[in-house]
Amino acid sequence: MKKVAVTGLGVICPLGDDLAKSWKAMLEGQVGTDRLQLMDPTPYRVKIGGEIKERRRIDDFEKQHAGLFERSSVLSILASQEALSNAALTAPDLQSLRVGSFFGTTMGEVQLAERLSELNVKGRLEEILPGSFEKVQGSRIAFSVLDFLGLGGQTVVFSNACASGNYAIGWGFEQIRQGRLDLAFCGGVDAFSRVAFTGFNRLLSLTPDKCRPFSRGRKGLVVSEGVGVLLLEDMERAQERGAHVYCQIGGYGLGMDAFHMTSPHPEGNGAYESILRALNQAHLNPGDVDYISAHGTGTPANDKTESTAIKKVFGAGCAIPVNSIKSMIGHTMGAASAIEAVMTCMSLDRGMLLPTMNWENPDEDCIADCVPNQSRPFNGKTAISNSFAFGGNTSCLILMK
Amino acid sequence: MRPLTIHRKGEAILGRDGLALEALPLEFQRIFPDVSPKYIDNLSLLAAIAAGRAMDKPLEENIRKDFAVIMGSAFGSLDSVVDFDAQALQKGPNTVNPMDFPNTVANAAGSRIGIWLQLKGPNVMLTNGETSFIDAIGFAWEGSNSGLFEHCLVGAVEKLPAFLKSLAAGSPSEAGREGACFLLASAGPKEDSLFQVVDYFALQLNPDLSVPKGFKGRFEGLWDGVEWLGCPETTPLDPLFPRGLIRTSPPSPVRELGLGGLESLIAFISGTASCGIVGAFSKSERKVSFIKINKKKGAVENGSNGN
Repeated sequence: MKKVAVTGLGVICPLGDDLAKSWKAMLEGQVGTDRLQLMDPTPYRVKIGGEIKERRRIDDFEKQHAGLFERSSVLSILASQEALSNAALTAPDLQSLRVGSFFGTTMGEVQLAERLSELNVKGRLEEILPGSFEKVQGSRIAFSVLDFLGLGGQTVVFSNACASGNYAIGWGFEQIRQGRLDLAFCGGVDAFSRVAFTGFNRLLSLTPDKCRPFSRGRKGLVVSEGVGVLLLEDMERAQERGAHVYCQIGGYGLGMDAFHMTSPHPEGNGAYESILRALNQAHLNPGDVDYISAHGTGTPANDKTESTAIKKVFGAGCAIPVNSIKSMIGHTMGAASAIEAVMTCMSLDRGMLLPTMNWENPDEDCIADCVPNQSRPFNGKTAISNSFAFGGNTSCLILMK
Repeated sequence: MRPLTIHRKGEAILGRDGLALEALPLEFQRIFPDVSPKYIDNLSLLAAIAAGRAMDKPLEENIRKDFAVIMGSAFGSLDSVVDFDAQALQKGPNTVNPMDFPNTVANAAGSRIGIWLQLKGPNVMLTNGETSFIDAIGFAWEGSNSGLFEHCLVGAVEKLPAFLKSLAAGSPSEAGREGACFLLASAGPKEDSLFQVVDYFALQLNPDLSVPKGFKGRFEGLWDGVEWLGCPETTPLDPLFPRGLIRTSPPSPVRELGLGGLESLIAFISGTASCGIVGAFSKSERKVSFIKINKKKGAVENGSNGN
C-alpha cells in the first residue's frame, strides 16, 4: 500500500476567501457568522447565518466565465486552483498523471435548483436557461474542476449530507493508497441554501445568536457556506519532487447509526464505529491520538452524543483537546468536514490548535477540553476529524504528521 | 482482487409491471408493514421497494453490523428540494412541515433503508450523473476489496421533478427513467450467484475526448476475455473497443439517467455471454463507466429477480 500525502490546501469560508486569511482569522478567534445579508431573513425565526463575505474572486470568476459554471462548481474550482498552487503545481504538470476529482456536497448545485423552483412557482419555465438539466446534477461539481483545468480523470461526487467531504477525502485516499491514482483533488462544498436555512429553521435546530459547541446552554447550529479542498498525492512522488507535505492521511472510517433521520444515536453508536474503523485502518490505538477536530455543531444532541462516542473510544477521563471551528464559521454543510480537514492539516503543520469560540460554561455531558475561546500551541502528531450527517451517516478521518 | 458476487436483483421502475406513483405507499407497506409512508418522498419509497425486493430473507445481526448500502442517483433529492422550496415560496417559510425537510438531502433514501433494515455498515450516496448506477456498483466492488464491508445492497434511484422532464428531451416519454434497482451482493466468489463483478473502470475523458495518458493501460487491460458489450449509445471510445465484440444497446428510447446501464445489465443476465462489460456514458460530462461481469454458462435469473 502506498502512503498518501496532503501537499496542497484550498479554502473559502465566511472568514476568508483563501487559506491564509481563513487560518489567520480562526487563529485570532474571529466569528464570521452574522445577520444574513445576501438573502432577506426577516420572515425567519432565526436570522443569522454564515456567508462568504469576500466575494471578489467569486464575482470576477463568474463574470469571466459567465453561464458556464454554477456556484458550488465555482467555489470548488477556485479552492482547487488554490490547492494546486499551494502544492507548487500547475495544471500542465498533471497532464501525464492519473488524476481524480472527488467532492462531497449536501445540496449540490442548490442555488440553480432554487432558481428553477422559483421559475416553476411563478409559471415562467420558458426563462429556464439551456443546459440547466445537466448543470443541476451534483456530478457537475467534480466534472467542472477537471474540465476547468483541461484534464481528464476519475470523478465522484458523494452526497452524504454534512459528512460528504470526509467521504470524498476517504475515497481519494483509498484510490491513491491502492495505486490507482497519482493525485486527487478531494473536498467538500455547499453554497448558501435557502432550502437548508428554511428546513433547519423549521426543525428548530438553529441558534438565534451564536454557535457554542460543547458549552452548557448551547442552542444550536448556524447554516453557512464554503468549500475546502485537499490535494492528495502519492507520498513517494511528493517527496521526489520536494513538495511540502502538510501531513499524511492515515485512514478513514465510515459508520451508520441506523437510528433516526435527524437525531443521532443517543449512545453515539455510528460515531463510535467510524472512529474505531478509522483507527483500525491506520493501525493506531486510541492512545496514539493527540487531537480531535469535532463535528461539534453546537446542537444539544450532537455535542452530547459525540462526546459520548469520544469517551467510549478514548476513555471516560479523555483529556485530548477537541475543538469545533463551526463556532467561528458556522455549519458549512457538505463543506464542513473538508474545511475541518484543511484546518486540521494546518494545525499539524503549524503546531497550533484553533479555538472553540463562544464557549461559556462546562457541560458534564461533553468532553473536558474543547480548546475554549483561545488558540494554543500544539506539538501532537496524530489527529482525527469527525463528521456526521442527517440520516445517521458517520465518518472519521485520520491525519498524521 | 476478489469478485463481488451479485445474488439477487430487485426493481421498482415506474411504468413497468404496472407500478404507478400512486401505488408506491401501498407497495411500500407490503414490504415494510411497520413503517408509515407518511412524510416519506417518492425517491425513498422507490428505493425502499427495490431494496426490499432484492432481499430474500431477514439478515442476522452479525451480518447487519457491517452491511453497506451503496446507491447512486443523477438528480438525488431534487424532486423533494423543489417541492419543499415551492411550499416555502408560496405559503411562507414558516408554513413548511419540518417532517418534509429530511427528504431534501440526497442520502435520505439510502439512510432510511439502513434504518429500516438495521444495516450498520457504510451508507454511501453517489450523485454521479448518468453513470451513477455503474459507479455505485464499481464503488461496491472496490469498497469490498478495500475491506470497507463484506455485504451490501448496491443500486440506484431516480425521480425527477415533473417540470424538469420537459427540459430533458423532445417528448415526456423520452424524458428519463424513474425508479430504482438494487442488487444484493457479497464479497468473494459464491455459489448463489446471478453474476459477478470482476472489474470497474470509470473516467472523465480529456476535453478532446481522448483517454488521459495515465489511464490508457488500465483501459486496454479491461477487455481481456470479454465477448459482449452492453452500452446505451455510441461513445467517443468506440474506435478503441476490441473488434469482434457482440454489442447491444437497450431498445428503449427513454434516457436511463442515474439508472444508466440497467437495461444492458438485464440483457446480460438473460443472454448467453459469460463475460461481458456493461457501460454507461454521460455525454455532457464526457464520462464513461464500465463494469466487467461474469456469469456461469447457462445461468439464468430464475428465482433471483426479486420481482
